[in-house]
Amino acid sequence: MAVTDVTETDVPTTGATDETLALTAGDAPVEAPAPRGISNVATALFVAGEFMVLCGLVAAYYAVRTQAFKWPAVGLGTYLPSMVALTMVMTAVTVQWAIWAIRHNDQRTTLAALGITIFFAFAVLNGQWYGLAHLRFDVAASTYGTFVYVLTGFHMANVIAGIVVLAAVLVRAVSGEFSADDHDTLTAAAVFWQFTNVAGLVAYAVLFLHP
Amino acid sequence: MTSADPIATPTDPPQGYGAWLGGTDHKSVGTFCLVLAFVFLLTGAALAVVLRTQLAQPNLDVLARKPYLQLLTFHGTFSFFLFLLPAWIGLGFALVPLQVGAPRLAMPRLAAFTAWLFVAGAGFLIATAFVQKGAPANGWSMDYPVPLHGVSGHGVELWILGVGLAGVATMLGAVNLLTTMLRMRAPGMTLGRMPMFAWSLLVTSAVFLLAVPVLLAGLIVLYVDHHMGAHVLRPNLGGDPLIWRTLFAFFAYPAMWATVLAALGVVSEIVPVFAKAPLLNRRTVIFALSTAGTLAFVGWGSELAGETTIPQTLFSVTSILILGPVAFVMLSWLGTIALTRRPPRLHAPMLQAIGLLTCLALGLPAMFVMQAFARGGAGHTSQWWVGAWHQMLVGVATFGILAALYYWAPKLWGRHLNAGIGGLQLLTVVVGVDLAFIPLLVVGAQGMHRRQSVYSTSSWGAANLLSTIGAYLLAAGIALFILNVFVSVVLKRGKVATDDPWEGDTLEWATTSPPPAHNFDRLPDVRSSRPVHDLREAAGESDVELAPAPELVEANA
Repeated sequence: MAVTDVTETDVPTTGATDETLALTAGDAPVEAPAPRGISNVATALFVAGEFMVLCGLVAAYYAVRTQAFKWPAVGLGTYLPSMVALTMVMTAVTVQWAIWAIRHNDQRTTLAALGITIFFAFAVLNGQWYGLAHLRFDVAASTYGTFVYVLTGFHMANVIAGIVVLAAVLVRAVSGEFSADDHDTLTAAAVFWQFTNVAGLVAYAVLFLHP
Repeated sequence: MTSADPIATPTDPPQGYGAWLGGTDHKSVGTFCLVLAFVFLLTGAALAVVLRTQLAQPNLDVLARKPYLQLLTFHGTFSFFLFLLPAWIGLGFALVPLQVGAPRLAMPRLAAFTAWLFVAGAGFLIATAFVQKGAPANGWSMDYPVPLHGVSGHGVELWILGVGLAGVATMLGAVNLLTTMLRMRAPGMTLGRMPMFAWSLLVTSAVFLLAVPVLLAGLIVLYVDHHMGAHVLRPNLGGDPLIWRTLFAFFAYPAMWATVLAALGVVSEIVPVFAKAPLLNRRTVIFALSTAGTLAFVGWGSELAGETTIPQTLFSVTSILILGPVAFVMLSWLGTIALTRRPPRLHAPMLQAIGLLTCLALGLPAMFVMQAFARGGAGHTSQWWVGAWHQMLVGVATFGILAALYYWAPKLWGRHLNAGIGGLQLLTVVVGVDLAFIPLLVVGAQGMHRRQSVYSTSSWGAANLLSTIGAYLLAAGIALFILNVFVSVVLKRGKVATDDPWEGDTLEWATTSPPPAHNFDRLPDVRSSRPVHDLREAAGESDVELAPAPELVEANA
């Protein structure tokens, strides 16, 4: 037991009583190495919470769907949503590519992959925005229409947050902060980005593939 | 052994009130959340007194129906979203790093941001009182009725924003606490050795993390419906109000249980220390808490009892199942005390814990009857619901926060709370809880409704009067507690705390009271769930007194 080793000489002179030493001294140094994986774990947990928001919205969607006589109330083309979904899949690949590259300590490829991911992310945002701006109904027109706005809007809000996160990670990558051994933040950003893709693809499937 | 120099503290952040506002030290941020929470506990209690005054006798005319419902909405909203949620998150912020032997929270700045999100949420919720059509009058679940556009004013939108911000704060707080527990534990502290309070908060945080987002989804739908004129919740236009009510119940039922489970963790921490024995069936208690946390997600339908589309029997069963593990935890406390075959040390925290135990013992059967006969007079629309849930949320969850502060105030703030005021407060709260809420079971069973603002049945008068007296006592008890903290801690009249005043078992008692900004100069070896107890045993002294904090800090400097 730690305390059996404790003698007064073991401990820097503190002027405190022996009893104090017995209780405050121990083997473990306080300055333990900085814990690893905080950003990964925190992001995974946060994404779990976000996923529940998505579940709540999708559950609400199916609840209204059962009430409707005609569903969907308005027919929407699937060309643009499909292209946006395809772009999301491409970002899913490129962000994993960035991680693969940093695991091989390949800084240049990491930068390139992150840059391409952000470019595609803007393309996703652009496509979504264009789609919403050209809808011929507003948010209150029908319950289906409401969920087109709500689910797409939820995805877009996450894409905007994701672009900010990826851009911050890109800045850090440019300054060479990541290496094969230390790229927690990059992984965390990728985890969040993959969630935005899940949200986007779920919205796509629910609203357009199987309305 | 290593004998690293004690860490110098020149970079320690500023102490005192300034640290609350701009600091990221987890003790300050936690204290800040607690202060905010207690402001709203007191407000919620004051509102309850006004509401109960209206119901004290049949046909009273203290409040008209609309203001009654508006104050009722404030009471529920403040007490849950601005008291119970920030109080547990704040206690977690303040204590979890100390309990797991970490120098800080996993994300200190996020913690400070969380506290300010609660403040912002509070701002929006208070602002609902000042809008054109007046504050919302739809109850804390915003479903009485589900607000319709044009009927309820803009107060509903402010309410949505306020509750949403408090919800996001809770979610971020839960992420922070969970990450701290999963990634920042001291060497040797396995999950199995983590203190009981930390364990209960792990379960509570996990429940918050998965339940609160469902509320956020509901708020999005409610906002779009109310503000933008959509009709997802309007029955005649292809919508269904049950969508909001279901999403709210899916959040509220587990979240209410989560606040109760955290209180069970507090008592599971206090009882072994004052009984001077390890907690009986410790691992099974952890399992029971986790099981209760899981079962909390399958009982939400009991909050919608009476709706034809909700399977009643299924939810009756699932909402009764959760009572089993909770009762098991309670029996483990009793077993821990009984098996030592000597009376426990009856210091202030232990007395508060015993008070909580009595409230829990009455609350469990009340919950059982409500869930078993949900369709009858004891259903969720009756006063029985109010009585049973308040017995749990006030008698257990709120009481747990009071007990926790009697136990940990010496550690966090370096002063004991006054035991004399504590005794008076204990008596007032225990009698207040039982008197305020048990009579509601009686009138509930006789058919009095949950949101009734006036009644003419004269036979309900006596029970309602008792309940009103109980509410006054309870409010007085809460005021006494706040007075106690003010006198003992703020005015510094409380007894100065030694480092380990209760002869605790867990790591927070191995540092000074209050702890330095970095928490620990040294950590004991963690080889069991009771590292500080082990240290004391190894030293061969069971009654070791720690030097007061100031001496140690001075000596280290």
